[in-house]
Amino acid sequence: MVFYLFMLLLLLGSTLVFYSLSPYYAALGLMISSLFGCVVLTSLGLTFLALLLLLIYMGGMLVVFVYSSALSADRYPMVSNLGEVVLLFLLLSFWVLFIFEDFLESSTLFNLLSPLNDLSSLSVLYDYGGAYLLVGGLALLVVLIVALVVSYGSSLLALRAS
Amino acid sequence: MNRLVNAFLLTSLIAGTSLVIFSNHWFPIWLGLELSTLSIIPLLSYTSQSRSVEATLKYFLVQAFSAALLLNGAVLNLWISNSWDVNSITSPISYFIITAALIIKLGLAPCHFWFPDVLSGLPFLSTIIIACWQKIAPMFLLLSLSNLVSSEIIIVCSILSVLVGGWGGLNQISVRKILAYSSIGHLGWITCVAFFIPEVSYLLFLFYILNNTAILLICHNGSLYYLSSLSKSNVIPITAILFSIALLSLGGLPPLGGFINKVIPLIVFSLNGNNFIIPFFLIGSLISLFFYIRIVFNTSLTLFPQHSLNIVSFRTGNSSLSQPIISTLIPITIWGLLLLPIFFLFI
Repeated sequence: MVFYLFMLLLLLGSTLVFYSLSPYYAALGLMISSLFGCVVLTSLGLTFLALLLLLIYMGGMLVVFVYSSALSADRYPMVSNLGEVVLLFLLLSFWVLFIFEDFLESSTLFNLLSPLNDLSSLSVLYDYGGAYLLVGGLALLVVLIVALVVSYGSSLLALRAS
Repeated sequence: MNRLVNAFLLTSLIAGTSLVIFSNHWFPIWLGLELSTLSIIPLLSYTSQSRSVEATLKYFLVQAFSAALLLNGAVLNLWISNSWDVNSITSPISYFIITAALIIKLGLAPCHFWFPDVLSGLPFLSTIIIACWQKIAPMFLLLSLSNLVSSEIIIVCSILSVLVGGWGGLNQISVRKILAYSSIGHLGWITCVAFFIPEVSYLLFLFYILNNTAILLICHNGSLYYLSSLSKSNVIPITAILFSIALLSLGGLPPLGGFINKVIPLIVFSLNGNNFIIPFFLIGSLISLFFYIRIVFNTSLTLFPQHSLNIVSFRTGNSSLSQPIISTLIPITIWGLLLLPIFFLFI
């Protein structure tokens, strides 16, 4: 039952992302959804993936998002519509609960006794799937070059916000 | 743009498409599709004109959404069938999601709305990449899926594509939009055969790509962006004649090579007893033949009132690097019908 509460809070975070008026509350929603995504993964025993998710979301993506929204958002942002967001979230969750009502009766086992369930399959990524990592890294290099070329702008001096 | 960056991006574009074709695990397929999408973004928007940038943005959004949908379908297939293998599509829902993603990527109706918008904002060399090269990977996936599961959604989408391609191109004055709608119609003809014999679709797709590339290169050479510039173009006179022949071949007139693209699907349909869908294809291609003939008419069949010095011109037009490529591709449109017996290997 607690498991579904965590997933509902994940839904609240994502509702906050797409329905809020100002990008700062969207960043808050991203933070909430990543946090509860980690909690959901940990309660299934996949602790390494949870930590990886938290690191990349909070430490990488969210920092970039907050900086770019601070550069480009409105000067006097509107105060949030938090009441409407909570109302939308409650409507969505009640709609889902009424459809999947019998799903709630079953219990999910928490695998907290044997954590690190994911390491046995994660090691395959580095062993047999080494080529995928290499190609993924090359793709990220292409993304970096594309981002630099696209944002070069008309001023040939430096990477500017204009 | 810097030459090294240009070469790097073209290399990664080719690498992305090759990654899609040569793998049977869904993850590198998704990776290759995203890599090819990302690496052409600077190639499309290097001129900072607002039309190109808007077209690039639209293209990126559509392709990224459909690649995410493809990954979603692949993960759903993993959940149901415990396999990342491309050849193990077991459930209809995952097949449907993956096919929907590929239909959005290809620009088949009913998901064709982005295609004329994107093509009409780009210069012709970028148009060649979007309309010819970028269709190879999703078409390959669609045809290899059709080898496993035959679903009628392909027939419905191809009939809609042919009709949309016909009616959509009727009132256009921009040559790029006309070629976009013609491309939608041709992809409709090609994908309908995939329901019956997918190997034949590869052949038809190759013909379509060669024909389309030749026409787009000629349009790039003469800067034929609008119908009004068709009569004032300065191309080498032989190119003007070959342009008309290539367009009539695209329309599917019999002694020319493009007739293969029409006669092979009709033979396949009637051999399988599926005569009901033939009138839809014929109506769509008849309407699209009208606007091909409109282009031919404005190019070489009419002499508009002009100064007599223009008729006797000493300049023979600009022949650039694309001229040998055009001259290599055009014979397919003229002698292509002699390749029809290849089809009888597949029956």
